[in-house]
Amino acid sequence: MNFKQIKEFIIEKAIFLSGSLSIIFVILIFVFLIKEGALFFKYVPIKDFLTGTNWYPLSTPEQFGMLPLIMGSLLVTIGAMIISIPLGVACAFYIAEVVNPKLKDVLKTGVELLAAIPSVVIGFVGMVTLVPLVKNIFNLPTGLTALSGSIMLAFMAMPTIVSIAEDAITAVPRRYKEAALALGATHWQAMYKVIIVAAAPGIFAAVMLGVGRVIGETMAVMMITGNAAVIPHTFLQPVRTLTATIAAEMGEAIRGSNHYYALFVVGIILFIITFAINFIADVFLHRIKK
Amino acid sequence: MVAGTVKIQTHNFNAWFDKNQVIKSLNMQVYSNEILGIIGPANSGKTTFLKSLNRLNDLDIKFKMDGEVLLDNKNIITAIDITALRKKMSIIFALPLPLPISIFENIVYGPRMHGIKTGLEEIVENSLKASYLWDEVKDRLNESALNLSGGQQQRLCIARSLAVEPEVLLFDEPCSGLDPISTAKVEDAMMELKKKYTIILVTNNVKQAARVSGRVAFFLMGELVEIDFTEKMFTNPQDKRTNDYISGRFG
Repeated sequence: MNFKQIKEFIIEKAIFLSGSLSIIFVILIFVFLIKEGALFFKYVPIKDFLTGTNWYPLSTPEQFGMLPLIMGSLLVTIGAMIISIPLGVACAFYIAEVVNPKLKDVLKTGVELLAAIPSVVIGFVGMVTLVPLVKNIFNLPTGLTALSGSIMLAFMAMPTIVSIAEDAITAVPRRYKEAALALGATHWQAMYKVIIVAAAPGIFAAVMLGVGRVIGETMAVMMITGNAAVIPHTFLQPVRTLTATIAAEMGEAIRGSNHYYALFVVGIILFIITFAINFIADVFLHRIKK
Repeated sequence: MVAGTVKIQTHNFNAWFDKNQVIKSLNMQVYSNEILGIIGPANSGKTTFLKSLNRLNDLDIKFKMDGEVLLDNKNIITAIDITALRKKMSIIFALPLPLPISIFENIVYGPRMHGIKTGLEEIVENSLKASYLWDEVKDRLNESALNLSGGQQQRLCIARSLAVEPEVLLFDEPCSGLDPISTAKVEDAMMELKKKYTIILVTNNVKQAARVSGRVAFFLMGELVEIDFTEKMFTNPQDKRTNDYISGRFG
């Protein structure tokens, strides 16, 4: 083997290794989560875990009912989606279809810049501005509620939704729009009957990725949702999400205790949810490319 | 002589993309119930002229035009209700452009948009019959339009245009992507349609213009070189450039 061939060989293997590393890491993380989490079910039946309504990891006897956490995550996510989907999709349509080309770049950059704000800063801003506002408007004992969390998380989902939905709308063949206009459609009719239909998979993928971002978000929700592990009945109650539970309790859980393993199971659930969401989004994104 | 009345006429019509003048001082008439073929090499302004008629060029911000284009003696350059204009002047593009929905939905798309809610089945049947497609698709109206062959898709697009009850049909090289048999079917449809509609046919295929049109206009570099009855144009053209183009010496 001469020098050139050796060089080729090394570069080829190095690239292969870097390429496979990311996949190996994902698998390792999952295996590790399962390994640690599985021990938990020796002590607590899986049914109690998923349907129990009390999360009291530090009382005696310990209670690990995860329902309040799941409900908390669900409520905040749904709230954030109710706000960010209409706003985000409308914004994407505005940028892709309505605004003039010069302003378009400015707007798109601006929206993507929103993604660059660290979540702790969003949480902090929400804490000092939004939380007192919610408290005063609804006349509540505290402004740390699911609603506050939803509003701030909606901001965090917006860049993902707008950016990907805008790409999907721009990718709709211009000829579809011309065909609709040629039949006497107004701009709006062409948009909602043709462009939305053609861009639907992409818009759906954008929404799913937005959901993924919201569910996985930790810092901002921990700071502004109040962290009370009770099953919420309205948006105006404090809630605790899956993510915030892990972040807040991992530091104080004794290694090897039931509490410690329970947090790993919470991690597994979170992993499964985000994996499923990203997978669905991916399927839809690939559908567009075909 | 031309049988119909004047449907469209232009007076000193000019069009530009940026500073590039693509149509130069065009003066011509189109009569009702005729097929006017427009021939000419690439870049001669044929498609631009067609798209000016239903104002689709407006989508391009670099496009400018002036002069007069009269449809039934109303100037369309200053028309306010562009959607009504586009409903009257239906365009059929070079590549068939079915929307990604079912055959049925493709055809009722236009009528529905204009507020028609009843008798849609009838509209679909009539339009498909008029475009010579009914027999081939009557049993699979709910299938996706994208499953049709190229020639069928083009006839579907014609049916879709007919469903909005236009007055003028603008064909923009409708057979450039089709095989000879599909082409023949589209041409048959056109011959039938001229009884009811005014048709302007832009084509790169000189023989097609000779086959279906009653009169032919020859465009070159944005100018109307000659317009006359098909027979005269192909046997005894007045301008040397027309003769050169038709006999295949350039273009």
